[in-house]
Amino acid sequence: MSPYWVVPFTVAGIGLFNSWSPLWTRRNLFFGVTTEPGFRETTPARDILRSYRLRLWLTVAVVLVLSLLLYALTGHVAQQYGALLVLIAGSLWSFARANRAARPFAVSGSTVRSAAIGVGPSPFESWPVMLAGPVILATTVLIASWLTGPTLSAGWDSIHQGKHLGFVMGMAVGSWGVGPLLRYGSRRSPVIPGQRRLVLQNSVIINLILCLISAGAIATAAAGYAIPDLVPIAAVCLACVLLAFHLVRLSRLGLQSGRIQAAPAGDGTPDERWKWGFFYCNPDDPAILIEKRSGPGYTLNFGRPAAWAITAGFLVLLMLPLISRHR
Amino acid sequence: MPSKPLEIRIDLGAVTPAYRQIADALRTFLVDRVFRVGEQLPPVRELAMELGIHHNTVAEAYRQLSDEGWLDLKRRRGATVVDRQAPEPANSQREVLRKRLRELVAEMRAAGFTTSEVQAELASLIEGLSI
Repeated sequence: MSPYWVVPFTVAGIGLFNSWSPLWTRRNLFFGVTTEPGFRETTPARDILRSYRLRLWLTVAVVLVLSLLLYALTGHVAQQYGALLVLIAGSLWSFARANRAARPFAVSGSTVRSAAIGVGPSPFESWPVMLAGPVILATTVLIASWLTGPTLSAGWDSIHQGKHLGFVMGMAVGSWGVGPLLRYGSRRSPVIPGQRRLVLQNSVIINLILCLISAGAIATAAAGYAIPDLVPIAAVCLACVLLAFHLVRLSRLGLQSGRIQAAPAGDGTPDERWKWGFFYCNPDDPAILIEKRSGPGYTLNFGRPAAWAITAGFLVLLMLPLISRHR
Repeated sequence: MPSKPLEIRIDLGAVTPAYRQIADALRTFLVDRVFRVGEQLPPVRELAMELGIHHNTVAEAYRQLSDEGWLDLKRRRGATVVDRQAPEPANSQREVLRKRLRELVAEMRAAGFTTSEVQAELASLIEGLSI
């Protein structure tokens, strides 16, 4: 496939995802506004959705033209990625307009809160299990370095293997970081008991697998064996499958509550704390991770300083490859 | 810790402040000896997260129970249930609680409960709380 088609395909894919993702949420949430559960089937809701999709696909069309134009003028694929920023801005604008249109139909969310106490600790919530993955990985690295010294890197006889395995190790570290965040900083679903524990179990298991893969690769390289090319590629594929499984499970856990009739109105967060229906900012809410009101997954509570620190950390990680390339 | 999960339920829209609702709910468990002496209540931050409220609200509820002699609060060790001997109620406290009870009974009567039904409910509750 010619390189200049990559960005247009990405743009179209994102457009398709954004077109449907506002409906992948609880039945009583519509573009970030708490509504009656049956509101989506009403005429005003369909009108709002239609307008949102029109604006969104208009943005997609503009971005597609822009990306092809940029490639035609510059001949570089990299410049096309600037068009993605326009897509992000346009998508946010479309969503914010729909959020504003839906507000007249808002209902008060339930003011009832409940908490289960006296459940007792789960083995997966204990720190020894949480630390297992990173301890295995760190121990392997230390032992391998001590035994082989500078010849450790010789086992990775191609730069591509190092990059692939670095990706797996990065995901291992990242998945471990998600675990404590979910344990100490996330809001549980108001109707699914043990949701956080399920998510945490997922994170711990995936983290252990990724750390074992990384540790195995390091040990193999330390022993002086060249790793066959297929191994790092298979490791990356396995890591992607695990991550996809984790994300799908997260989204299904969140969406399940939308199908339960006894769910209280709303998701326990005040409508007025959702800026444009998309960004959550509530300093009084101790949770750092909050279920998204649009689409599957979680978002950050930007009323907490930790959320900004996490965002800054991600931005630094994104910028590192660019910085290292230009040094 | 109790063997099966218990639930605390509060209404943020109610007239009663949230911290008092939490304290009242926990006091019920403490009077009923659901939590044994020496056991720890959930950490303030964890309970605040579950309820989606500020941690100061939960902390105030724990402080109130500590002032009443139910809990021992130690930094970094959480809230521990202590052995509490029920004190002789002061006259002023009797008056306050009697007033609250009177208001509750009036509310039940206004809702349609007969006198015998109110008596039966109170008797059943007193029996259920192993005092």
